[in-house]
Amino acid sequence: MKLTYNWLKEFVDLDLAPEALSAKFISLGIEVESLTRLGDISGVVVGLIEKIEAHPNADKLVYCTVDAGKEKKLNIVCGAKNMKAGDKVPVAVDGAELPGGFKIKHTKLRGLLSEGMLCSSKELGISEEADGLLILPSDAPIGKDITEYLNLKDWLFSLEILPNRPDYLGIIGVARMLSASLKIPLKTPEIEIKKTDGKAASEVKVTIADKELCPRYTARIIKGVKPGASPLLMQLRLKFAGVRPINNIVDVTNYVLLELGHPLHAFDKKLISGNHIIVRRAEKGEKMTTLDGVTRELGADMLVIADEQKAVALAGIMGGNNSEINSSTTEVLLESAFFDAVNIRKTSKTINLSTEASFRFERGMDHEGMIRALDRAAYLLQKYCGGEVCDGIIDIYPEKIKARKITTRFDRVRKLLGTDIPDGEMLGISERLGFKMLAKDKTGFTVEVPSFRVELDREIDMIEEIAQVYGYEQIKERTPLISLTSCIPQTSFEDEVKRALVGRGLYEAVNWSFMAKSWFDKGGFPAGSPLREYPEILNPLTDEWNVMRTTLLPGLLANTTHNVTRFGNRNLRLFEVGKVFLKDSAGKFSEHKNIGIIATGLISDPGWAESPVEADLYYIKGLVESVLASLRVPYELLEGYEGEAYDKDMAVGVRINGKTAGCFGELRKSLLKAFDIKQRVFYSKLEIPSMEAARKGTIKFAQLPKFPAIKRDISFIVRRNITSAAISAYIESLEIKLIEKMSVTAVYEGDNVGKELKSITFAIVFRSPDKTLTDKEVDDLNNSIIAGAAEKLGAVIRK
Amino acid sequence: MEKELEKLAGEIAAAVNAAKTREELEAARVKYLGKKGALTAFFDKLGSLPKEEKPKAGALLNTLRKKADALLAEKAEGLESCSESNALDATLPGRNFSTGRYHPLTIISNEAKEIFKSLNFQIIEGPEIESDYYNFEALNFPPHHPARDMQNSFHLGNGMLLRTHTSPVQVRTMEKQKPPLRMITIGKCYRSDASDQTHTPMFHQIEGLMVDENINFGDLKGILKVFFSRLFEREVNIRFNPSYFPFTEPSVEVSFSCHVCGGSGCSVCKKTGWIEIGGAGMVDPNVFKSIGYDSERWTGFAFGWGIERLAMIKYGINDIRLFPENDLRFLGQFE
Ligand SMILES: [Zn+2]
Repeated sequence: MKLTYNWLKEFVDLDLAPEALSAKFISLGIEVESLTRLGDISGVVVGLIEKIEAHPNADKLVYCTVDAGKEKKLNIVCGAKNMKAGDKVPVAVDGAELPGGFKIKHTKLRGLLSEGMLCSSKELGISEEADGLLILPSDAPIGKDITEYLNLKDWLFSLEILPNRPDYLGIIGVARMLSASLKIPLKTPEIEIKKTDGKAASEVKVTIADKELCPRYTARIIKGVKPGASPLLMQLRLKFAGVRPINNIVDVTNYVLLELGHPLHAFDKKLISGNHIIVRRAEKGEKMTTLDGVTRELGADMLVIADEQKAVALAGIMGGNNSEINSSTTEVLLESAFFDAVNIRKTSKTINLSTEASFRFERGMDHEGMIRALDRAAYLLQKYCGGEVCDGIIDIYPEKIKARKITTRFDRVRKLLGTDIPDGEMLGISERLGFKMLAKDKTGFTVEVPSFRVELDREIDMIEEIAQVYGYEQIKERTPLISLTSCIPQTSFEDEVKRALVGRGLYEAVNWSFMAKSWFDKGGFPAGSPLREYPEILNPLTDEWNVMRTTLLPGLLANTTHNVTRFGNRNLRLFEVGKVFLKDSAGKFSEHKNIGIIATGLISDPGWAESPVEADLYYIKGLVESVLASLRVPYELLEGYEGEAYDKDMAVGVRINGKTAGCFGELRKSLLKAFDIKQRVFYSKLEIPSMEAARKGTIKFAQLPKFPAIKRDISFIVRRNITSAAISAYIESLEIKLIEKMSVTAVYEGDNVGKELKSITFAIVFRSPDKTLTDKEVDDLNNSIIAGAAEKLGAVIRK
Repeated sequence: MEKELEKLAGEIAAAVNAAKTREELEAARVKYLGKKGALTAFFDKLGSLPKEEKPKAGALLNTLRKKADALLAEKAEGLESCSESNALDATLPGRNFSTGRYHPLTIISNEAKEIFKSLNFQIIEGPEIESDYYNFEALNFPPHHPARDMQNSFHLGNGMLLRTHTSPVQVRTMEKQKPPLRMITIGKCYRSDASDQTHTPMFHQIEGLMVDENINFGDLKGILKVFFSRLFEREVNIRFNPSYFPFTEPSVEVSFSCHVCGGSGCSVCKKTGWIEIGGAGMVDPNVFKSIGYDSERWTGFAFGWGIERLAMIKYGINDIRLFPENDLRFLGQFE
């Protein structure tokens, strides 16, 4: 909500400077979005346009002769359309300075010298939209400084009002809080309605057909109004508040809405057929055209204000154009009503129309304050529109809304706030806030909640009220006494996973949980792919993010593309730990925590002393295996994993507890191509819950061996289709108990071993737990391995 | 001859000693041990000596020869290592250690977890796809209340949505555990807000809850003071401004005194001395009611704020959109 400093001062005797007031607002929980100095202008004066001529060189410009009170008439080129000769307008003369430091000088515009500028309200910093020149009243004194004439020296506050404080949506509400908090008097707005002959009750009849949705409807009749422009100050303040001035009658209703926070509506009474207002639900499919010119189809749960023939307003949201105030309006039916907040909100959401009125009604309005708003607007119509206010208020109030009562215990306030706030202070604060004291004793007090505080009905609400006025800065900090819990897990499995990967040189990524549905088509995933079982976002921000990710791959792949093509890093080893989301055939959603790993380019940072090694299957395999081992997760590998992200035979499955819980391998070329990646990329996925469930308990120490080991290397020359696993399986089949460990130390293919053959060297470590082995014992064992190799593996042993 | 040999031994030792380069050493070798060297000349003379002197002179010569060889070899070794150390360029960079990096959001989350673990808070996780009940209703957001506009949610259908805050985890924890209770949760949240420098539709929140007998508003201030002071490694003060969240009352906006300037005003705190960080408050009795806790006996506080915001403040990051981009040049800065 926007309001100016001077306007606020009409409601409360304020002696705080604007900056100090801004700090005060924040301490009261009213966020100040901005504080702007107004009238930061010099050299702008009232001028009279004496003559308007066409500009010889430009169709869209005119050439004006202006009397700005100077010795000489000024010739000014202007692009506006809304003025005529004889109008008075603000003129920025040579040397003038406009808001934002914009300086006016003599300038040639399309060949003609312009000795200044005629100004709109936007150029003077009054409104945000440009709506032609600001036409001043005809009695404005020529040559008078505009900031003095318009009283422009002011400050504009833009306040953010929280949903629980609809009372702050009027200046009076803000003033009321300042009055209570600063202990300064509140001023009530002027209302002096003259007595007239007319009787409101005999002019119009009001029927409430749905008292749930409209608990109270009040109206006044004002006759003899003369539509025209509203007073300049009113127009300016409306503009400052972001409301467009329309005519004096509509402006009055908007002005009072800003002042007192209650929405009002003015009907042209002569357009209400049968002089009968009926507040009813719309017929299903009933149509009406609202003031914004849109014809809307209504539903049976929407409330309308109708006459005997038609709906004339969408209750609490917007009037209809069939009863709009117009230049021939003479009689006004002024409405001040109270509508059900939830219903207004639902309607506003359904038709997607939010107005100053609906915004307030859906937050809850003051069912008593509405009368004062009605009276204030009637008074201003009398004052500024020549209206005569008919005697009496039409007030249809089928069931009086009961005032809420709250009992507050002094000790409870102190206990919850942790302060020694005295009883008397609590009472004083409550009274200053407008609560009516109903009863009090040693233990507490009972108040009646004022009607403008719609959100309050519990003791805790009073505690908050008291605390706010007492001041949160007075709450003393204390450290609570914390009892120690004996068993709290010290690390989470997820933390350990991250540590294992970071420790192996990977960078951690965090990607969006959203992805594009179209990603699967682009990446060439078949229609029935389980990856396409994504939960869809019904109201996505963009098509790029219209489903939840079912895999970590899209994010990591995008990271790869961006780093390689845009950020200049072709060497990438990234992982992410995060959730993926699925929707099953029954429509049930589930979420699963996964690890995703991407490796491409060099596997260690390049340098002068290191020989560059490109990522390959053995890198990702070694990484996955060492991470699983370090986390004490038993696993099996499964060759020939069929995964849609991989080409055939390019991936290996990871089985944990007999279930496939991961994979690793080289990403398929067609997928990489779709995402502009021209280098080999290796990817692994692992499911955290399976890993965590399978992990073995704590680390178990094994006794260190007492006797030395003896190592032998055996190079098996075998056909290329014999795998290293086949060789180790052969050695294991010999069940030699003294083999402690064996590992592959070299693989060679080439001229020295012959075509279609390869050499695989195993290093075998022999050790006995109870003696030192002799060379002969080891040689015998070694020879037993060699002996069967020819038969079982077709191997030749390289000497 | 004995004397002559002694003299020669001295000369050789001096010459070898004096050699500063391999070339000089080689020259010395040639001078004494070469084909026409001084020592070689003695061997040549050996034949012309009387028979009885031959064995003794031969032995002397051999000893000298061995000694000279040893001297030369020792010197050569010394020169070698010396010349090698002259060739070493210590200004070359050392070998690379390819170290990994945690994402800055993980670093901050881990620091926060450590602090709360030390205060005996449990760390709890909850689902990111939530029901309207846990995300709003149980947290005292009535249906159709404008407070819901503060948190625009993404809907997935079947009444499910992406959680807009981590607060549902409070409710889920209270459903499972009886007070006293101390917990934090950290995780992803989603709001359908357009991206800008300080907003992204996905972000991370830390949420805390403490419920016990006699927990008051001052305890909230105290715990927050401990947390922010430890996180920013400087004693800070806590400021509360009134705010509104349906699930706490009183509700506050929390600021801490600037960790950079200590409150006197600097560019980090925009000259205010305070840094706004997030929301907090005393748990609303309606929340306890929907869980089944007796709100007369138990009181508690809750707090929550963005992990991204913490990281931005701590590291001086000016654009929240850098976090999900995973540019190595960004990630690489957080060792
Ligand atoms: Zn600072």
